[in-house]
Amino acid sequence: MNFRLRVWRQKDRKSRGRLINYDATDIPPQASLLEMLDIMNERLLLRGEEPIAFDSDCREGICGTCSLTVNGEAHGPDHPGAACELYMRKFKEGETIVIEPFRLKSFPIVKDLVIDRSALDRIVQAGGFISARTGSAPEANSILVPKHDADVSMEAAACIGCGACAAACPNASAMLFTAAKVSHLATLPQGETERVRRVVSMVHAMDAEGFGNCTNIYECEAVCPAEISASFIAKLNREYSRATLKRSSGE
Amino acid sequence: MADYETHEYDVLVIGAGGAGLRAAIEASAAGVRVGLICKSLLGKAHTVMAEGGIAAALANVDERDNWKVHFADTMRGGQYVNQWRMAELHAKEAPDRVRELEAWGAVFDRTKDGKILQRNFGGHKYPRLAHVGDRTGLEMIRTLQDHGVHRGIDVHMEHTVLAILKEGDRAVGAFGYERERGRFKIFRAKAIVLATGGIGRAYKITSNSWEYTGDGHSLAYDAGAELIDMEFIQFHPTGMVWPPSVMGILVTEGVRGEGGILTNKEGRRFMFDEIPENYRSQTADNPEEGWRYCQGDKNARRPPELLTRDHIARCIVREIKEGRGSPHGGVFLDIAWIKEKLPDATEHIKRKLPSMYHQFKQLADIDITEQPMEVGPTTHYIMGGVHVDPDTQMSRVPGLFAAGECAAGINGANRLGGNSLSDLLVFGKRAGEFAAGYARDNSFGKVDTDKIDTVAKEALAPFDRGGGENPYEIQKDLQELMQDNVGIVRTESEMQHAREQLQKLKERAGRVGVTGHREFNPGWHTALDLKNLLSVSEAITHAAIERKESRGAQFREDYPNKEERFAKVNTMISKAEDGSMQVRLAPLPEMPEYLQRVIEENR
Repeated sequence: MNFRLRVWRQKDRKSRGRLINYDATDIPPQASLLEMLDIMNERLLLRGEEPIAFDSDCREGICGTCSLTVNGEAHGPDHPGAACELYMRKFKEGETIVIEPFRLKSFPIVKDLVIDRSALDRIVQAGGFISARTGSAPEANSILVPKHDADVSMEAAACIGCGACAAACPNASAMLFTAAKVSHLATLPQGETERVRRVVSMVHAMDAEGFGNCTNIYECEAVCPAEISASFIAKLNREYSRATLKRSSGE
Repeated sequence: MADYETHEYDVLVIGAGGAGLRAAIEASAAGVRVGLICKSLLGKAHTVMAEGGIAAALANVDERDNWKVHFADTMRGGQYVNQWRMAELHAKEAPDRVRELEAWGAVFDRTKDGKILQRNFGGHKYPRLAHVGDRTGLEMIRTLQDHGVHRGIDVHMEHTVLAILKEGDRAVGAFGYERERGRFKIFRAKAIVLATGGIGRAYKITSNSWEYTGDGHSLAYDAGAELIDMEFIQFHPTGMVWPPSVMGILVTEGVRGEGGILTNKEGRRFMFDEIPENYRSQTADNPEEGWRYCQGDKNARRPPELLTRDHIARCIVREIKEGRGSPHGGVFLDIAWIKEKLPDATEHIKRKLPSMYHQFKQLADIDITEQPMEVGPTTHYIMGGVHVDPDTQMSRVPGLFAAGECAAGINGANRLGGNSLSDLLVFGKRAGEFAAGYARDNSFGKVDTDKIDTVAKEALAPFDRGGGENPYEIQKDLQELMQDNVGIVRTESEMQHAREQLQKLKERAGRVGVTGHREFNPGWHTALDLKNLLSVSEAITHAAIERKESRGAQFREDYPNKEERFAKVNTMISKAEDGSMQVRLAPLPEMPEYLQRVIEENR
């Protein structure tokens, strides 16, 4: 198959980037989008040009490393799925394909299609953990979790941290990500001790990173490769209200 | 020496998968300063791809389970060339490590009464694998990462280590570069833990991600450590072979468990052609009986598609080699045929194998309820790696530790499914603990500036040879060489050929050239990975030639049986003074009587 590519090229964090046109000819229809970029890179190398930098790891939709906006949609048009699960046969022969990195202030562009998503790490760092002691294993079966709770918790924990939710949101809100992290631990008994502190500090960290607020547009849910429900945002709001009330009442 | 950015840590952990993260957490909890280097982004490690579960004798589902049974299962799976002490520690400590993970917020599937659910898996006598659906690895990494980040561990993402620095015999640091900017960095450390995973990328068809280039194996070897059991590589019999972008991705054993059959291009169900003598009494005589087994008939025997992984892989290779393969170099795996047997087969398949249905629909545009899949063996795991002290995980280089897939000993000649995630936790923790102890007892060493200059010069040389050999081409040729000559079925002449060709590839790698500049240059990264891939390929080939028998994952056409003289030895690879690769056979450590009794009791 043949395509006209428009790929974002940017030398480094400080430079201005722009879309560059490439002709992608003779691409096998069974190639994935990332494999098409591999093919392009081999060709660029042969021509003595610099290859297009992009991130990838598992290429099976598990890890959430590939973070591309394809034709204006986070992870491209084939939802649900990460950009690595996008196949060239989904496009039309001769189609123009625009490939850009996720675009928001909180994810600075490192080079070409590579972005820095450490803002998400800092939100987790603010409270998305359980600070139990290391090296002292608990007694057998001292933590019992009802099957239903474990299932709900896992639906939230399925988040792969790709950041597509924030990239797709017109408000650049990372609330689906934060909601998933907060809900996962808030549903488990292990997470109970730090429940109040966790949600407050994670929301503060989220705001400090410059992410916006949720206004119920649901773009995040539409692009999420892990199909995390926006109803977790409602849970986040409830957790946050509960925590602030508890704090103000001095509990 | 140029002025390089330098970091100092008590303990430096290289690799941020399950073992690396667990080691970093443990060392940090011991109160020392910890640095963590990862080749990709934090949390994107290859561990996320593990689906089966964590093997630990929690005895939640079957109360007869305990560490002794787990130990005996592991030794049987490894054909008794495992390091017994590692297998013992692993079986004893895995339950604690799982409960600890639970306390840190890991989600697990649950029994009705709220305990951690455990499932059956090949080679484990009782249901033993703690799991969460088919994404246990992802959940484990997420938990470790989230627990690790709040401990104040310094993380260096997208960094590759090029050499371990030494003062005399002792490891005192690492020299590497940052992939984003291409700048070199020095990491001084009192103790170093290698946790870099496997070597899958030395083969053309692999389920491993791009990072699996044997970095830890190669770094340790260069630093003077010994590599053990390198001939034992596990090939999963069914990986996708088409389209190319998904070549190697696993097709779960569950497909065969639900009645999927393997056929060649003539439509023949070839697994019935060769059933090993010792399994004959447990294997179905005809397709009808095999089908009844898959339907849960307790009086039926299992179909030959459910024989051991290594046997199936070899049968598939035979079909392909003899020209009876599928169009894209595999064989057919057909689950759609059950329509002859079940009225609602389409729905049944979708319900029983949702992820496989999705995987083939999404990746290959194939509807497995209508069409057969094309599958072939895929490189999955290396049992071999850095030889370490079983208790402390330190290699013979003082201050240099290793854990996880890049260390070796627990699995022997073959690994049981589920034992890798528990291995990461048990030995990751031990490596972190003893590395922290070592760091407390020792001060910083002096880094060798001459060594740094040499490594930096070598690393930059490809830029001076702009028009030299293409790194991707060499990598491709290497992968094909290993796939074709040191793969599933091995023979002396092919491996000797591989050994000669590896020398030629080394010479070509010495002439490799790249263009552009150092900032995030994928061509350069590939060029720098070549050295590691070549070292591990050479080690695998040497070890496989040395073991003149078939045992576990090693199958030699010219020595198709187990040999007594290899029953109690391991192969050891090390670097000689002159830089050449040495291989020797080392006797297994003597197993104490109480463990021999455990094995006898569980025969």
